[in-house]
Amino acid sequence: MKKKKKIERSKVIGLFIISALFLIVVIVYGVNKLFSREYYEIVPKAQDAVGMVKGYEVVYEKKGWLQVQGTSISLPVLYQAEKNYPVELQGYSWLTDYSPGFHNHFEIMGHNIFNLSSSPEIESNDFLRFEQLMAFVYYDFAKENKYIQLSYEGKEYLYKIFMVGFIPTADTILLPPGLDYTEEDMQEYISRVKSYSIYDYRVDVSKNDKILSLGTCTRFYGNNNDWEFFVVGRLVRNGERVDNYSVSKNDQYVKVEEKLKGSEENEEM
Amino acid sequence: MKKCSKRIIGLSFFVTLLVLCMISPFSVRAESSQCDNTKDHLVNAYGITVAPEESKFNISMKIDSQYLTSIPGLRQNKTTFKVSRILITKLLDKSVRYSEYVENTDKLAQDLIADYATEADLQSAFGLGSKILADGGSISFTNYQTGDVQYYVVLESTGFDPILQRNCGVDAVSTVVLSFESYARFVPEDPEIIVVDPPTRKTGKIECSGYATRYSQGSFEYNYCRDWDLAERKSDTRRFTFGKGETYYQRYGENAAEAFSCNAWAALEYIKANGLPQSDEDYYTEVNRKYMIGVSSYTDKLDSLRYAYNTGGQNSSGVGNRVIYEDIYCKRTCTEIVTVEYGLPVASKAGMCFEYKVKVTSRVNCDAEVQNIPKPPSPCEPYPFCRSLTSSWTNDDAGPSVEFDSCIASCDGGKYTSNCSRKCYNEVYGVNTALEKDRMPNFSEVVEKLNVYRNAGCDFQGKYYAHGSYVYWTPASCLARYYSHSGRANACVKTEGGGGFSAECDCQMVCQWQGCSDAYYLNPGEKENDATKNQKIYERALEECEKEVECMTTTAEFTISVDYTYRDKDKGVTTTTINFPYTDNSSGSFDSIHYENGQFACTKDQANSTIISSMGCYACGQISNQGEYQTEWGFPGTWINKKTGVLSYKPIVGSQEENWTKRKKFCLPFDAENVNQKWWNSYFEIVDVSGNYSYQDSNYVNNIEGCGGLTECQTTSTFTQTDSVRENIHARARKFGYFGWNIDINCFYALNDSFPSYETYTCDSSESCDGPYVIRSVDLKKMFPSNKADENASRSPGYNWSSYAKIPNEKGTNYSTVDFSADPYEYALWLQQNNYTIYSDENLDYYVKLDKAMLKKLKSSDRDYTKFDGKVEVDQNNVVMNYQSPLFRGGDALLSTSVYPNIAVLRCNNIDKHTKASNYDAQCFVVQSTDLKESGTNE
Repeated sequence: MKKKKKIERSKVIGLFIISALFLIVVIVYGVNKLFSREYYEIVPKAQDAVGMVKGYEVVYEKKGWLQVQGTSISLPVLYQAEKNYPVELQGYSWLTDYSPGFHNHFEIMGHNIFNLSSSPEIESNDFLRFEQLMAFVYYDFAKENKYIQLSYEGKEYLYKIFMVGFIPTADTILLPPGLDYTEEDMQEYISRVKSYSIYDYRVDVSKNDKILSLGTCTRFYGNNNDWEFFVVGRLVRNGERVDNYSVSKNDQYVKVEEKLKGSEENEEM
Repeated sequence: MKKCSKRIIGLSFFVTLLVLCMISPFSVRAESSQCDNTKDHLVNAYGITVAPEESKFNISMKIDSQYLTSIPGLRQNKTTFKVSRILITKLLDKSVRYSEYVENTDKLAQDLIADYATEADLQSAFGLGSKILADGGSISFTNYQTGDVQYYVVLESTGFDPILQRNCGVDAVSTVVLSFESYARFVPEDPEIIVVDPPTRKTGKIECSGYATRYSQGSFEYNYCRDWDLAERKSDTRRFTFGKGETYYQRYGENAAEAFSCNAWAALEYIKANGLPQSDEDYYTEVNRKYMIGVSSYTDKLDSLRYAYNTGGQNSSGVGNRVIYEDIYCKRTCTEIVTVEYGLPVASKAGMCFEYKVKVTSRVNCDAEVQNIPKPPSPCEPYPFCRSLTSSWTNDDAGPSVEFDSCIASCDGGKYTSNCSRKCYNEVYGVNTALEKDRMPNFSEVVEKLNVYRNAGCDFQGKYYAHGSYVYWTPASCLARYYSHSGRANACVKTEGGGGFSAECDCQMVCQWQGCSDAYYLNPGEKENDATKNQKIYERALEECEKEVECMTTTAEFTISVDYTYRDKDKGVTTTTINFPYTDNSSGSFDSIHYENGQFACTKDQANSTIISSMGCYACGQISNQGEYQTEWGFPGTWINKKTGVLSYKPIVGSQEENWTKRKKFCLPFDAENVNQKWWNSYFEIVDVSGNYSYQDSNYVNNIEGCGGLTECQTTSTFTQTDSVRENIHARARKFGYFGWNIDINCFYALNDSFPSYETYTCDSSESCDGPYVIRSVDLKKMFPSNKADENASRSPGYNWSSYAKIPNEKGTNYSTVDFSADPYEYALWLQQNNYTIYSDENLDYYVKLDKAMLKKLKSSDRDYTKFDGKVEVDQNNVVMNYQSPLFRGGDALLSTSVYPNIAVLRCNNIDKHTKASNYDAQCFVVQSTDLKESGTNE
C-alpha cells in the first residue's frame, strides 16, 4: 500500500515537472516573439504598383507604390518620359528618373500645395499629395516615424530614414545625377544631404547602401522658391533589425525651431 | 487518478514537442553544384515551349578550341554533338519549319508537317538522329502555327581524337546555346542539362572549371575542360623562368620526367607482335615514342598604342573630354609539342656492331591576344530637367506656381495659411483631379508648334557638350533644343550662354540637361568616329602582337654514350663509358647546333659527329621552318683496322684511312662482357627463325648458371615482366627546341657470348689453343665483299677458299660468287676432277722460252734471283692478290717477253676461265700446252 502511494506521488511530481517545462518553453517563445516584433510592418502593395493611368490627357506608367510611416502618404509612384506632373492632379508621386531594375538611388517627388507654411500641419483631409511629408519637421513626429516603404517591380523595399531637412533649390543641382551611383557618387550624396539634415539619426549609412529620397516644395522660409524639403532613407540591410532607432536634433534644427516658434506667434486668421 | 495522470503526461509531451518544432529553425537546403564532374556529356533540354507567330527556337554550337586548332601536327578535332533525339509535341495542322545551318549558311530548310504517328517516324523522316551539330552550325525550328509547340531535344557528343586526348592539357570550351525569341520559356523552369562522356572514352576525371549559366533570354552555356587520361599527371606542372617571364610547362606521356627509358618487356612484346624494323622508315616504333608539351605565356605592354575616347561632346571652342587608355597589352602564349623517338634495345655479340639512333622533333605555335581593351563609353541622350516651373505642363517641380505664390502673398502676406492655400488653389488651379484610366495623347499641338518655329527659319541643329555632370546644348542657330511631351511641343530659345534654355511660354523656368555627363557620347556619330579610329589601333596592336614565332638561338647540345664492361687483367672487371662525339678528352664533349652570324651552324659535318640529320630551325645553314626543331643523332661510327681488327672510336683520317674501314655503327670490343643476358635470350627466342640460337643448348645453360663474372645469378634463362635491365646506352640532348628541353634517353644493348656459336673451334690435342689468334667477326650478309666500294663490309675484299664463299642470292637459290673473278668452288671442283693433270703440261702455269737472246740477257744480269723483292698487290678489280716478280714485270724485267702465257694472265694466277670477266680488262685463262705448240717458235 505504501509502495503504491509512493509510485503515485512520483508520477505527480513527474507530471508537474513536465508541465513546468512546457510552461517555460511557451513563455520563452512568447517573449521572444514579443521582442522580435518589428517596428514597421510591411503592407504589401506590389500588385497595385503596376499599370497605366491617365490624368489631364497625360498617360503615366505606374512604377511603384510609396508609403511613409506615420503619414497618409500611400501613393502610386508614376513615371512619364516628358515629365508632365501637374499640381492639379492628386494622389500620386513621381520618379524623377527611371529605368528598369532596382537602383541604388531613387528620387521620388510629390507636390505640396496645401502645407507650404512655416507651421506645417501634421494631417488634413486636403493632404492628397506630399503635404504630410512636412510633418517630419516636428521632432516628436520624426522620433516616432522612421520607415519608408517602396513597392517596386513586384517586391517590397523598406528604407530607414537617416536625413530630414531643407536643401536650397540651387544646391539640389549639386547632387550627383543618375540612378546608379558609383561608390564615389554615393559618398558625395550622403555627405551632402547629411550636411543639411536637421536631425542626427543613429543609422549607419555608407557608400554601399541604397538610397531613396523624397522631396517636395516648401515655403517654410518665405514666399520664394529657394528651398525644398527632403526626407531621405537607406535600404534596410540584410539581417538588420527593423527597430525604432534613436534620433536627436542637431544644430541645424535651431533655425527650424526658431521659424516654428515665430510662426506660432502669427496665428492663422 | 492513474489514467488521468498518464494522459496528462502524454499530452504534455506531445504539446512540448509541437512547440519545439514551431520555434526551431528547421531548414532544408538543396545543394546545387555549379559544376558536377560526375555528370555525363549529354545536353538534354526538354520541354521548351515556344509560342506562335514565327517565334524561333535555335540550337547552335560554338567551339572555342583555340589551343587545339593552333597546335601544329595534331589532328584537329572538333567537338560535335549529334541530335540524337528530338520530339515535338503539340504540333497542329500548321507547320514548324526546320532549318539547318552549317557555319551560318542556311543549308536546309524543311517544313515539318504534323501528324507523325510516332516519334520514330519524325526522326527518320528528317534524319534527325544522325544530324551532327559541329562548330558554327545550328539548327532551328520556326513555329508558324497558332499554338504552343513543345520541343524535347537531346544532343549527344561524339568521340574525340586519340592524339588529342594524349596531348590535352588545355581547355577546350564548347558552348551549346539554346536560344529562342520572344515568348518562349522552359517547361519546367530549368532544363535538365546532363553531360555524358562519349562512350568510347574511359571515364577519367573531368576537371571542370566551367559553370552553367542561364540567361534571361533563355540560352545557356556549359563550359568544360578536356583533360583525359592524363589528368592524374596534371600535378606534374613545373615552373621555370624562360624568356620574358615565368613559364610553366606540363609533361605528358608515360614518363612525366625528362628521362625516357626503354621498356624491356614492352620492346619484346612489340617485336613479337610486329617483328623487327626492316627499314629506316620503321626504325622508330610506337613503344619508344613519347610526347611532351610546354606552354608559356607572357604579357607585354604595347607602348606605342593607345585608345582614345572623345566623350562629352564639344563646346564652341571644339574642346571636349578626351580619355586616353594607354595600358594595352599583348599576351602571347606559345605551345611546344615535343616528340621523342628512340630505337628499340639491341641484342648483339662481342665484336659485332649495331646502330642506335634517337630523334627529337618539336613544333611551336604562338597565339596572340590583345588584352585590356577598354570598354567604350556609352552614348547618352540628356533630358531636360526643370525646376521652379511656373507652368503646369512642364517638368518635375514639386510646388506651386508663381500665380499661386502671388495669390498667397495677397491673401495672407505669404504665410500660406490653410484658408488662403485652399482659396488660391481654387483660383489658380481649379478643381482637384484624380488619376483616371489612360487614353491616347493628342499630338496635334505638337505639329502646330513645330511648324511655327520651322517657319521662322530656325532649325533644331546643335550639339551637346558636358563638363563633368553638367551638360550644355550648343545650338547651331537660334534655337536651343526642343522637347515634346505628350502632345505638347515646346521649342525653346536660348537666352543666355551656358547651361539653360527657356520655354517659349514661361521664361521663369530654369532647366538643365541631365542624365548624362562628360563620360558619355552625347551626339550622334561620335561613338562611331572613335570606334573607327580605335579599330585601326586594335588592328595595329594585333599585328604587333601576332608576330611569327622565331627560332630560339640557344645552343643545343647532343651526345650519345655506351657503357661497356670488360675484364682487365690487372683491375679485373671494369666498366667504362665511351662518349660520343669521341675526342681525346672524351668526357664533356658534345655536338652542338648553335646560332651565329644570323644562322644556325652545327657540328654535323665533322667526322666524329653524332648528328645524323637536323631540320627546321636546326637545319644547319638554312632554316627551313621557324616553328620546327628536329635533330636525329646516333653513333658516328667505329673504325676497324683491316688487318688487326683493332677498333677505334676516334676518327681515322689522312693517310691511315686506307688501312681502316668505317662502320657507321657502334662496334663492341671483343672483350665486352655479357650484359642483359636474359633479355638477349628472349630476344633471340623471338627473332631467330632458323633455330640456331637455342638457349636450351646444354653448354649454354651450364654457362649461364654459375654467377660467373658479371652475369647475375639467374634461375631462369628468359626475361620476365618483372626483370630489370642495365641501361648502357645513353643519349642526351640539352637545351633543345623552343623551351630548351633537357632530354635523357636511356636504353640498352644485350650481349650474350656464353651462348655457343654455331661453329665451334675445338683444339686438336697437338695444338696449342692459347693463341695468339686473331679472331675476326664478319657480317654474315656481306661476308666476302668483292670490292673496296662496299663500305659496310667487315672485311677487306679478298678470297675465301672455303665453301662459304658461295653466297646465296636473296632468294636463297642461286649460289654464286658474287662479283668474284673466279668461283673458288667451281675451281676447286675442277681441280678435284682433273686430279694430277693440273700438274701436267696441259695446265701450265708458266712457260718460259729460253732462246739465245734470253740466255744472253740472263748471263749479263747480275740480279740476285733469290731476292724476293716484288710487291704483293690486291687487284681491286678482280680481287686477286698476287705477287709481282720483277723478273717478269717492270722496266728491267728479264723474262717479260718470254713468258707464256701472257703477262696479263699472271694476274689471274693462271686461273681457268671459271671467271666472270665482264668487269675486267684481262681475261684470265689457262694456257694449254697445245696452244703453245701451235703458236710461237719451236726452240
